Amino acid sequence: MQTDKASIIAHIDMNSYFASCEQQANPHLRGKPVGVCAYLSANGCIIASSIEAKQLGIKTGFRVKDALLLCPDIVLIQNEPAKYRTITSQIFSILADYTDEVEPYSIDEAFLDLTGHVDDLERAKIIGLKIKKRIKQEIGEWLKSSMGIAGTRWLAKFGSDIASKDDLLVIRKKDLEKIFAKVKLTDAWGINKRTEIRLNALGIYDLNDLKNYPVTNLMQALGKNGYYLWANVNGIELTGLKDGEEQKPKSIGHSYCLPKRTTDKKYLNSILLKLCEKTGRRLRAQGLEAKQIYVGWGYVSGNGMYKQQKLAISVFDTIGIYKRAAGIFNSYKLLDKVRFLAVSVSNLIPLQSQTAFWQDLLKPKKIAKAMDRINDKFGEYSIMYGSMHGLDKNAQERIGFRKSEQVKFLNKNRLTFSDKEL
Amino acid sequence: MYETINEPIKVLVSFGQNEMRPLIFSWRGKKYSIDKVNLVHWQKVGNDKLYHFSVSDQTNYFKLSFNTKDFNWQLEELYADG
Repeated sequence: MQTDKASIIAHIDMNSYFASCEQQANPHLRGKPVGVCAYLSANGCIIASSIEAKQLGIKTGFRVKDALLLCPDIVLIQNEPAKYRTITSQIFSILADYTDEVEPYSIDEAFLDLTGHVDDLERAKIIGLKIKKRIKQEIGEWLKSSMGIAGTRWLAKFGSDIASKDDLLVIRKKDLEKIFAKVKLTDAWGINKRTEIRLNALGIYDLNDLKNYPVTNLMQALGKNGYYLWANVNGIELTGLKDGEEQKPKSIGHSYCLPKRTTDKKYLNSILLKLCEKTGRRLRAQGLEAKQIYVGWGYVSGNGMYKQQKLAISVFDTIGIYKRAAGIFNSYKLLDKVRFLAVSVSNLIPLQSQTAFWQDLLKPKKIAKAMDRINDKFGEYSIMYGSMHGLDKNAQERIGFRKSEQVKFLNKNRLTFSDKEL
Repeated sequence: MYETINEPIKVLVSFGQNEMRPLIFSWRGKKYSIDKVNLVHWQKVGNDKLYHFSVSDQTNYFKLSFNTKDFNWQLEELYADG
């Protein structure tokens, strides 16, 4: 709700989200180091560590074999997307009870515009504490979150970033300098190591230096980004909450670490087709076509090849995507056994309905849509291309933190499940 | 240690107002009392829905699933300390 009142924005960030979901599901894992993995193979990657694993130095991005070296007792779990999406839907439904303006930022983060729903930051804090409590009571007692509440979207996110785990931090404009004095430049959202080096070169060593730096000089040195950085730390709203339209993805793709490392192009092409099908399913579900394609493959030796191609005719159906991807992939001689494959499409445009003189472009679109409808109704891979037969266990669904992660808000009248102890 | 099972089970369930809760299940001839339902999540399989119940007793964790298509229950996985 937009009013003339000063904005009140909250940002919620679930702590060690996927690992906490696993510890919520299985209480015997609580207090233990847990790593949620993309794959459980030695080279599989840890996509989320529990707080206990982080304390041992096992961070997101660690390989399974490295995590086991550091902590042989770590419990490693294959990620379970449906579990995390269900919990996110439940959390976002709670958020929707307090404002009609919720921006899902990723699978475990969201912004809430509380402007007009509460009069001041103090009352917003009460709402924030209620939300945190309801998540624990209604979904799971092990689900902890950090929350920031402030007058702008950036400060709210900054607040939740620097808040202690499971805590809530209200950032008032008058306290900014005091808070900024306690943190590093790189603690601020949007300032990475590279930006820090550029700021240091201007004599800016902390957020207060940035806040008090002449904005015109900053813009001369860093362009528009200089203004954005300065405005953010001075509590000036730049974006507000973004609606769903603005969150359309810039690219859609899938990658897969192969269980069988090989140079066998027949096998690799069948995996490529499956990745194209998964990519195409998501592309079509969003009503988009793509004018650019990217194919990447990595060798066991560590090197790889990454190629992209602009397309004269946009692609929409799986076979169209696969033909282009395979065209790129098969034009190269493999230098070693392949360990992973990736496909993505970008330069996305809304679905076109016109056809071309020389080619019937609508027919494959209709076939693709019909196949999607069959798979929607009867389950994935009820109908598929012949060369994908037997590959349904490969390249399974994984979860990411992408901003375009589709999250459905639950129906309030849903069936619920008692978690009361007997 | 996690163990994948995927075997059919018989389950005693309580239904309340907008509420469903597994209480006891039998697997391989033994009865297990559920102390706590820790988490419920679901996924769509085509038009059907599969509900997963993460439940535990004092020593074990079990993941049960209920398929709305055929009303079948399965023990998907278990975890025992040690």
